Amino acid sequence: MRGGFRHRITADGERYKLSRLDRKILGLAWEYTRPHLGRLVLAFGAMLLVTGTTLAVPYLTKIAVDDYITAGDPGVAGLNRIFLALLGTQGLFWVASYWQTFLSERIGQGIVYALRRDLFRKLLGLDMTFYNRQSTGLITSRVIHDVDTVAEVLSSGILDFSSDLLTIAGIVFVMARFNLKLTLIAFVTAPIILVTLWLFGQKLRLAYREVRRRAAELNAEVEESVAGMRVIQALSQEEAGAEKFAGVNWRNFKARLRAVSIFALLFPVMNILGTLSRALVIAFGGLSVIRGEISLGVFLAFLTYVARVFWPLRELSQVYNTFQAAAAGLERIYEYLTVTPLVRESAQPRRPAGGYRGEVVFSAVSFSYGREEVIKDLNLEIRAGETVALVGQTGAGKSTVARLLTRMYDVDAGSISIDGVDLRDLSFADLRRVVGRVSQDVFLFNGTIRENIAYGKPGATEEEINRALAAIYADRVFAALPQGLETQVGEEGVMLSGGQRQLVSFARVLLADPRVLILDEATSSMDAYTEALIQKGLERLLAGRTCLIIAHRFSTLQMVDRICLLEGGRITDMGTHAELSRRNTLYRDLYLKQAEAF
Amino acid sequence: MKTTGFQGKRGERGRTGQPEEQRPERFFATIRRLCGFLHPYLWQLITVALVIILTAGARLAPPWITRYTVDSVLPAGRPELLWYAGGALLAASLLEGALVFLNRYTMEYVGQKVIFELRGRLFEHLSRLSFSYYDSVRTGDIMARITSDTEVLRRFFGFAVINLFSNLLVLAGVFFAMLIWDYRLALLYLGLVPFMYHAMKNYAFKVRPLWRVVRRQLAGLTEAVRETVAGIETVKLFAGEEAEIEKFAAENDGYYQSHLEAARISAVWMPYASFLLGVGSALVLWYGGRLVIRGGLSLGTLVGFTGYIAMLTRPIRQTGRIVDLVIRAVTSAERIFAILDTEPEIKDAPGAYELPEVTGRVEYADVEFSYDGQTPILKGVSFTAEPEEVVAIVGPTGAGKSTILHLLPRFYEPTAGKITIDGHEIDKVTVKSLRSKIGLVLQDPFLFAATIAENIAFGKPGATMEEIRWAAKIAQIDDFIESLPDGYDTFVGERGVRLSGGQKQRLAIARVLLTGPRILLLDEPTSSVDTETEARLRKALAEVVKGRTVIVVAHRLWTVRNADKILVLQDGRVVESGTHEELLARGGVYAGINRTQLQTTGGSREGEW
Repeated sequence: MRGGFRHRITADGERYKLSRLDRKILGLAWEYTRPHLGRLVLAFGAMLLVTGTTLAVPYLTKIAVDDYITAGDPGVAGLNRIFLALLGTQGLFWVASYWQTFLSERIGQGIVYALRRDLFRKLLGLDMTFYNRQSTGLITSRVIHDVDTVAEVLSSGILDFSSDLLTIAGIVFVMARFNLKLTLIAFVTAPIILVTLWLFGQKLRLAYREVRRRAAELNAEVEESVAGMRVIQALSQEEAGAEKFAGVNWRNFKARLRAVSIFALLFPVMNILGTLSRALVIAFGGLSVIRGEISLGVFLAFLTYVARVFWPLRELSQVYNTFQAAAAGLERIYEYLTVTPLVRESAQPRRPAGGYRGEVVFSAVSFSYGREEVIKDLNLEIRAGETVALVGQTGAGKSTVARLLTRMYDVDAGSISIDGVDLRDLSFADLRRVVGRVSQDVFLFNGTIRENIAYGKPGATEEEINRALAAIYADRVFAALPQGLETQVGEEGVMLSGGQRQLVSFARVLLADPRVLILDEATSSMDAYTEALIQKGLERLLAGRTCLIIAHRFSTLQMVDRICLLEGGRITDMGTHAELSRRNTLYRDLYLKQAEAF
Repeated sequence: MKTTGFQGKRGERGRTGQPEEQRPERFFATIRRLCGFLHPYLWQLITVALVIILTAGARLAPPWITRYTVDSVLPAGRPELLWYAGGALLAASLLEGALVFLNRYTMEYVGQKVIFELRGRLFEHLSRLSFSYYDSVRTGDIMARITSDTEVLRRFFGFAVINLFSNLLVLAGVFFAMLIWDYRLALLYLGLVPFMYHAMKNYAFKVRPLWRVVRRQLAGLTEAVRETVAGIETVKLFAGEEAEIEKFAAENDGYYQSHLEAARISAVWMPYASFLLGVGSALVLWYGGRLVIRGGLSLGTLVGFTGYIAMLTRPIRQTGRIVDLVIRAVTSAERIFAILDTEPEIKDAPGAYELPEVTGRVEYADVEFSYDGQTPILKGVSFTAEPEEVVAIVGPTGAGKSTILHLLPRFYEPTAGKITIDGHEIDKVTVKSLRSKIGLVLQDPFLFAATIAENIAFGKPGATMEEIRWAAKIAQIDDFIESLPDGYDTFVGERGVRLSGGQKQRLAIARVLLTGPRILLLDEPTSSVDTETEARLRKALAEVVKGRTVIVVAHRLWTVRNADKILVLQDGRVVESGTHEELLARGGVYAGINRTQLQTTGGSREGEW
């Protein structure tokens, strides 16, 4: 299906230069188009037929008029033949049209399917460094919109472009064969049309860019107002809110109207320019008929052909924009497909000789996100089965330690090992099985509570799930919900409270049963009652595992074997609660501040 | 129990929203109501209608000119008349162009204006709806109604109405032209009508709905990508990559299949109108040609008629599209009317009076409340907060603590019982005057995407910088704000700095303080904050309670211990009340809660509970 102007004018790639396309990027396009080469050839054939049949009709009509109708009586038999030929042409047109459209969609969607599949797989292999740089919206837009734009050009775009060129060439050729002079006269307006279209295109592009900006502004305003409606009402600011919205609404209205006024002008202008050609044909063509230079049939054929040349012309004037947008999209896709993940799975993964017991060793670990070093020469040994707490002020690097241990990032220097094997030598599957993490930001998938818990162990049985829930005393909490474990958690878990989300994440990790467990502020969004409840379960959860606890709350620290004080990316002191409060002023400070009111 | 269960849900969600089987009377009632919005533009509409008739006339002229040329000018060999014919053609086109522009612009203007007003009305209505409404809806859903549903209506008003009329007029106009020229050809044309109808029906009910399904599938696919990317860390932690790829493959495949299915069917039917009219022209040429040969018809008429037929492709396709648009517009309109028809639950009672200045004595008497009318949340809560008293409410999650707060500014209505402020029943006074006396700090403070100063001044738009600073100082956030490079002009929200929970809380307190409420309602967040923030919050709290009646839903032991009165809420009732010491001495529920807290902390006191 052909898109009109609006579809073709997109924001992306407006400023893209086609000359930037290099061979590698074109190679990517070729790679995905190649499997469809046979279909492309067939579609091309079908397109030729469609163009041919479209051109044939005025020609056949011309023969009917000149050779049979104006020739008089003996023409009836000929007229019958023409009629049959026209019917055949139409039938052929329908069939060829079907194949052209269907095949080009088949090719386009085949490319879309393969590109999305490969992009998605690639994305899942990339590490957090990549995800920190790119927003969710941006990534989603590449997988969805860029792929669409590129595939459309690679399939129907190329076909339409060829079809437009062929149609114009065919019409000019046929007309020129009838009468060259009249052809030139008829197409005197063609350059004007192209220039007009181009100018309008520029103006429309700017106008629609403004429309998109205003629409985004409106969306943002609505979203914020609806999300903040409780605050607006609590502070009685309904009128001020309505006034602000009225402003945004009005700007949106004005931008739209401006774009529409340009668009509404385009159509009549095109129409008038087209009619100018027809008027020229009537005047000069009619003159030629009277002078006997051309037949009446040719005259009529000219009128039809001139009318038919406009649609392709209009399309061609936008071709550059279309290809530009697609090329920009293609380059962005190429960029994603060629990103090298920084965290890679080892080609020859190793395993500890004696199986996994859960001994964790950080030796001389340094790490920085950008320029600033977050972890500096950190050394820490955690024995199998030991529970160690990491305390420190906000920004000391506690969560970074947790991320390094789960290999969300690789260390810059030094090494982290589990049971004597460097993390980088473990297979991803082993690493994920051995190390688990519960953090304060719980991400839940849109589904039921049960499905989310089972994410920890695909294929977990009913009994296993119930056992995990019972272990952290969460079974009763969820049983109290009207739909129990079948409760839908909503997008990113919005339907659950913070505490409930955290319980789900605990159960999820328990089901996965890792040897090494990291609790990163894991109870921070629970209320006191839920936390009191889970404390008991927590002890059970920790039994027999190596555990690293990062906590604000000192209550959690009662059950640990050792507390490490993290300061400026390195461990400055280590010991039991009693030892640290006795000898370390910073620790005493942190602790006392929390307890001072009692 | 496989993770693939997620996908079923997505699919299901994709299917909902499909226009249910419309009952005709409701369908037309909605259309009537929609057209009611056009009422203020009556004279524009009348002008447009008249202009459309003129336009149709101009549109029908070219074949007529061709006929005249072929029949009268060419055989007569009078070249000077050719200039008239060409001129007439151009004039008709110029006229048509001017009229079309005028019409399009007017109708777009009307459409845009209607939507502009509709959006304004929607927005104002939304700000009158109570909390219970927002409990039951999703932000995304309301957004879609204000933005995309109104957009469908815009196309209905700006495009559908005008083009439907003008297309039908052209279809009819061709018939009348034929009737004037030659009745036989008119009959032939009539024979084509059922086919044209068939084609329109196909476009409206077969082809376009298919693409709607495809669009929904694409939305599902987009959501699949978005969700995986948003949760990438979780996916990696649980080694869920393969499962995600499988899930995505299923979505990807579903989209591919439905797109191809739609493409197949639309590839069959899209060329249908062209084919149909092509066959029509062939028929006309064949039958008309015979008539011409036998001398029963002029060649010009025949040529003119084929010209008319060639004109019809667009009206046929477009009419199909418009019918589909009308169906969609009705669905969208119903979603919009659903909001407009929701009566605001909280309104000023007839004869409501302004609440005068109050000392701040708050009394709840046997207050009952239920969100859904079935499960009672509060089952008879009674208590009194004397002026300048600090009352803390404690109790397990879900006991209805926050609900008690929300009832006072009338964000919800109690199902039974009475709430008074200084003896004034709160449902007898105007909502505005009531709320102006009360400040509420929500548990999860919402900040607007604006500067810090603007956020603090939100409740009092004309506040001076001094006032803003004063509030920030009391809320213990002033020095933090000053430490930012842009100070009070720092942007918060998505584009600005990210604030911690404690900082947000203190900004929210400053915001409420600025409105100078006699009664302060505070819903403490449950989440923990670091020790520094904790100390700050305490200081802020100690400041703000001065000279006000404060009711606080407390999660911090410190807050509770410093309250003048503690209410222990359990199962929707106040089971105990008194000071910290009194309650401990009583050895009831409160003392029990305290003991378990002390036990789990191994004897040492902790910051929160």
